[in-house]
Amino acid sequence: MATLGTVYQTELIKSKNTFALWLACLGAGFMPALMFVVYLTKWETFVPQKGANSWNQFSFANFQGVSFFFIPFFVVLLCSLVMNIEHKSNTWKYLLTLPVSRLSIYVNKLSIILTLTVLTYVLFIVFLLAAGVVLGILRPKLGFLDQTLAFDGLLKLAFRSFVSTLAMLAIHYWLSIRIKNMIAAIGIGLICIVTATILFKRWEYAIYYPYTFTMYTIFSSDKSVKVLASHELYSLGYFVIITIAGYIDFSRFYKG
Amino acid sequence: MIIQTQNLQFGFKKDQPIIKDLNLNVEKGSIYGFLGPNGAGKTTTMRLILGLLPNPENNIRIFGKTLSDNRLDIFSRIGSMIEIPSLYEHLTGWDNLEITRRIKGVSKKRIDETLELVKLTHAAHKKVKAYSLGMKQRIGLAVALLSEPELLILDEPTNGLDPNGMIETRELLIRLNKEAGTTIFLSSHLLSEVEKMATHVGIIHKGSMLFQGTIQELGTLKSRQAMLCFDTSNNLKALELLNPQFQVTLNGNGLKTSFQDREQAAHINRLLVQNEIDVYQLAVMDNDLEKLFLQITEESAV
Repeated sequence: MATLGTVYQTELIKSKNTFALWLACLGAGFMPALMFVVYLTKWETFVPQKGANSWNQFSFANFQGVSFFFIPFFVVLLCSLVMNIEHKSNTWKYLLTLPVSRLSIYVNKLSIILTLTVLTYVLFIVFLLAAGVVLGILRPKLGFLDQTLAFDGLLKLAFRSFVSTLAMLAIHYWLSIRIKNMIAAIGIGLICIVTATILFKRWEYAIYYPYTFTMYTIFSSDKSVKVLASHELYSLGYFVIITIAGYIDFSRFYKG
Repeated sequence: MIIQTQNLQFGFKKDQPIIKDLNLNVEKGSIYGFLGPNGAGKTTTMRLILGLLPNPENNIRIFGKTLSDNRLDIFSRIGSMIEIPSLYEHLTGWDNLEITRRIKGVSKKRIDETLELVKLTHAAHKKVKAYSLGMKQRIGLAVALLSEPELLILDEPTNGLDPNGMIETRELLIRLNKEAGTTIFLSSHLLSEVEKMATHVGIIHKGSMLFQGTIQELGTLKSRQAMLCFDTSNNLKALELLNPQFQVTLNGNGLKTSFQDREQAAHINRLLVQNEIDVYQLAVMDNDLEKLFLQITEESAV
């Protein structure tokens, strides 16, 4: 009988040669590359004033760049792409007749999506640092090589941003199991994201709306949040509840 | 019994049943050919057996157990292929087998053996995307065979294969059945194909089982069921004349009785002529089952 680890390994095999894997790398590199080009060409405007830290400004600009549309869309796309591996190959009927529990299938698929999301955040930070170092070499006046980065602050922001995606991730994990048509699932996601950008800071209850969470995280990034801001706790709560509800639906009613 | 269903019912809508009171009995060690024209309910039955469609009645037993309580045990003893093979086309044939191998805990050398068995060793490291339809069918079969299951459930296993591939697959299945004692439950819409390998046959039409039995029992079935239809110048008189001896009934504008043999037809004709009744028509008509047979055999000729 297959253990949890075995099924995870088979899920890794399945992600070979898929766009989902490329999305994790390309998605991570997009904003650092864009910011790199902007800093390189308009560097005069970014030369830090006295007391300011280039690293902090650069990393904040990167995070701000991805928080409003990019990360939510990335999560929607990633969930759809990973689940589309089974839909496209017509393999649900095969997967569900293997001697593996539904729980194991559900948990391991979710784990792959979480793994790819974490991988993207890690690569994002790596690309961001690399872009900063190269900028420091090419444009010494930007001061990247003279200043030190508040690395713990960057990690904390990345962690909070990751937590704020979990609610959306759980919703789209469930939707992507249920909706075989990938375009439909992505369309629903897009509508929700656009709604979020309209409601953000305009509607008092928008803070309970999962698709705004990454925006609230970047907005509250300079404030003294100890570990997690309130909307990030909501995100965790949504994640737990929706994941459990999704599992009940998947195990009882999903027939492939 | 390896597979047993009791009054299996299924329909997406309550008033439109797709499967009606199906009692399926697949004996251990048999090759059971599940025969019927396209749309008869073969795939639906197979999906029900594998738990891929809801069956709240819980009236399906595999290895004597119900699926709801023994899912993992039952699935570890089954190899299956439903409709078009379930394959990850972005992966190689080898990777597809590797996924099943890891989950079923089979030794690595079984992959090479199975590839050899379905004659795909040369294409093992090509992506399935680049496979021909026949190759996909064969790698799908390999996935089902990998764990040397006690029961194989195969939906149209020779679909898409060329004549050579059909013969090879047939021989492979017969060999597995003889040597390893594998019970094989396979569906087909071709009578000719089932006749060449099955020990048992079930014929399904519009969701109902029309016949179930051994391949020998199937052979004796045809003659018994046909009807003799005739039309005369005076059907009422003919009815009176023949009825003491034959069970004749009115059939539209003509008459009919169950067909026994050629002598019976000659005898009826003689009786009518001797009694000065003109015979306009005298013909053996197929019954529904026979029409179905024709449909199944005709399709095999194409």
